[in-house]
Amino acid sequence: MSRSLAGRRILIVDDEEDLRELLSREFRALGYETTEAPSGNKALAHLASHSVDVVVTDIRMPDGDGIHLLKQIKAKSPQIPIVVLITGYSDIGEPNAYHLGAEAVFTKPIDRKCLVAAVARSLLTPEERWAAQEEAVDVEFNIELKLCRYGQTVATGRVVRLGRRGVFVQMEGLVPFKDQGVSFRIQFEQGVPMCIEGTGVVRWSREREENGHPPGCGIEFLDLSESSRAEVIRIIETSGIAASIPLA
Amino acid sequence: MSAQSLNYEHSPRIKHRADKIFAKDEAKIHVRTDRLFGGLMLFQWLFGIGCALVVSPRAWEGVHAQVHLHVWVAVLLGAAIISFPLILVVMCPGRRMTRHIIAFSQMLVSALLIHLTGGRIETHFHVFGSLALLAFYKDWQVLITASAVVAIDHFARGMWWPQSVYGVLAVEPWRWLEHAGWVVYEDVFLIYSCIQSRRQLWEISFRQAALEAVNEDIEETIRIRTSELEHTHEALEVHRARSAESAKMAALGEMAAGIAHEINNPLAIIHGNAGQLKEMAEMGTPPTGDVTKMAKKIEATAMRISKIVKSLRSFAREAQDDPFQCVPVKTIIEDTIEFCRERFRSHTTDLIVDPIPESLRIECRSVQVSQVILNLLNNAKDATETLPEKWVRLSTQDLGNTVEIAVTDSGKGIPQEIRAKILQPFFTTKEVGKGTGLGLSVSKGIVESHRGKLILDYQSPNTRFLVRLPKTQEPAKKKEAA
Repeated sequence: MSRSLAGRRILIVDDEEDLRELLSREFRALGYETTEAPSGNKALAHLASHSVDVVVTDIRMPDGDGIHLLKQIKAKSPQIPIVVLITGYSDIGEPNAYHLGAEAVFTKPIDRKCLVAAVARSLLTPEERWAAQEEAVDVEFNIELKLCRYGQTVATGRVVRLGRRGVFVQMEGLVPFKDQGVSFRIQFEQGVPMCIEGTGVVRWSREREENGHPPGCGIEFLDLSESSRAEVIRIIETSGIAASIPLA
Repeated sequence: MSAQSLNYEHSPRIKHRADKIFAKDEAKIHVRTDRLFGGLMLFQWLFGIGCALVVSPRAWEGVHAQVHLHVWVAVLLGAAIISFPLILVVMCPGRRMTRHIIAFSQMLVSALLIHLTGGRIETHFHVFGSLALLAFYKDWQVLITASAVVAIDHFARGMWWPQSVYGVLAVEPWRWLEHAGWVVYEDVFLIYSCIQSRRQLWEISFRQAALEAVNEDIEETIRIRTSELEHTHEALEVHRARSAESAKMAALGEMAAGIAHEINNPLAIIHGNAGQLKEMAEMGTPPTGDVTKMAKKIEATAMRISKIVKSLRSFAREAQDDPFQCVPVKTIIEDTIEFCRERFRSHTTDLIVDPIPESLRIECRSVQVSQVILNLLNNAKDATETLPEKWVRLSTQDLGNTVEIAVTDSGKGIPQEIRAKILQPFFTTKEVGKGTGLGLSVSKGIVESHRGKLILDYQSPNTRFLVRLPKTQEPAKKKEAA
């Protein structure tokens, strides 16, 4: 993998100099080209004249916070993956970060291995990304859905909404926990029959209604069956979906 | 008001009370008049004896002289007449019987005096005088008793002993009627006057009762109002406590986010550096320079966390019972800033802290002083939020016996119309839910408990609050704190 990463440009945005330094060292050791910015606005200034392959950003920063940065980048260059670092409280919840298009969200202190893996993964094409994973997920939860049509209320009372990296599934009763591995098989029966099938990991879970959003969970796809992979890629490329995993 | 007095006139409660006052006043008059007659009886007795001694001290039978019978009559009969009423005056003054016996006896005294003066017509005036005095009782029935005694006396003596009563020897059977007629003539006016003055007395009593009722009503109203006020006050206290609590919780929530960020950032640095060091070690001997640098980062960053935790600890409790201690101003301010630096940073407000003299110390409850400074800094930060130019300056000055800590922000001062209000509890200009309006008033209380002053500096072109604290507290204050 590291061979393909050589020369990939990563922009590290954080107001903590020590942390930037640390992350730069980490990524440089893996062959990335790193650039640092101490704030959102500085990062945007850099992006105006340089192109980067991936951005890793903190949220809470003076002079242009990470949320602003995330929105700006997604508005201009939605293809640039952005990995968000949060400190765990209030600024922005993980569901919101994914909804705004974050590729991955990490809580400080960061698991460097996971961060590196997520950055590497973000640079893959969807096709590569969702091909069968080397490390199998421990599936603890099975979701079997039969839906009339994508995005609409169905006989079972469930709704799914597709994002660029995963899916929101509305659920009553038992909601899987965050970080649980799931296998899913979502069947759309009306219109063109279609099935999304694969495994994923629960990125966030909402046990009861919050702010008008129904209970459910956000699942990031880890691998998708060959047929559903093609379907999903086609849908997200034609529909202009912005969210990585929709809020609801 | 007229409606109210009308009410009072018809109130049975007031009538009842007026009756009571009237009875009490009347009883007082009766007792007083009884005593008057007691004295008068004694005086008349002595006067009678005097008369007897002057008019007919001695009786002559040839050369033999002896004390005239009249003298003995004056002494003994007089004593007999006045002794019973005197006993009553002493034993049961104010009783109805007492005044009737007095009226009866007084008329007998008149009769005795008339007899002693040999039935002189002038002495009959004593009867009229006595009636007038009896009218003091304001009880017309007493006059009837007295008049009856006069009439019977005049009738009886007129029939059988006219010399004693009229000073003549011839019996004039109808003369008593003439005398009684004059008595009745006086009685008519005296009785009328008695009834009149009783009525007046009752009116006065009624007025007093009404006044008492009004007073009672006022007192009752005051009591109710007071208790209402107390309730309101209690409710206000509860509300204030709750607001203070909710302000605390809101501040706590905001702080928690700040602290999470503030602690998790250095944790991430420590964690990351340690992880990289570990990997370097696993891979073989790393270059020494790098290792030292990373270890130093870990060390310094851990100290940063320890500082935050320390400042947290001091804010996590009530400090009002803390002892006063001598603390460097620099320490207090640095600890406080540690606590809010993060919030300033996320609001992109510049926090400028002017150098603080190392030697400057104040005797205070440092946590409380810290809370005051934090409150001023937070207000300043909120105030600058929407301004194009955002800065807050904290400066410290040694004023001899006092230390002045000034918090200035880039705002253009507090508007004139709210200056007087800003230190009042619950006054806030922040949007709903953002401020409880307690910060400044609580701060003022804390500063004053340190014998200091919290001042809004009108002179400054920018918004500027001054906290002036004495360097030392009075011995009394120390005792109180201990």
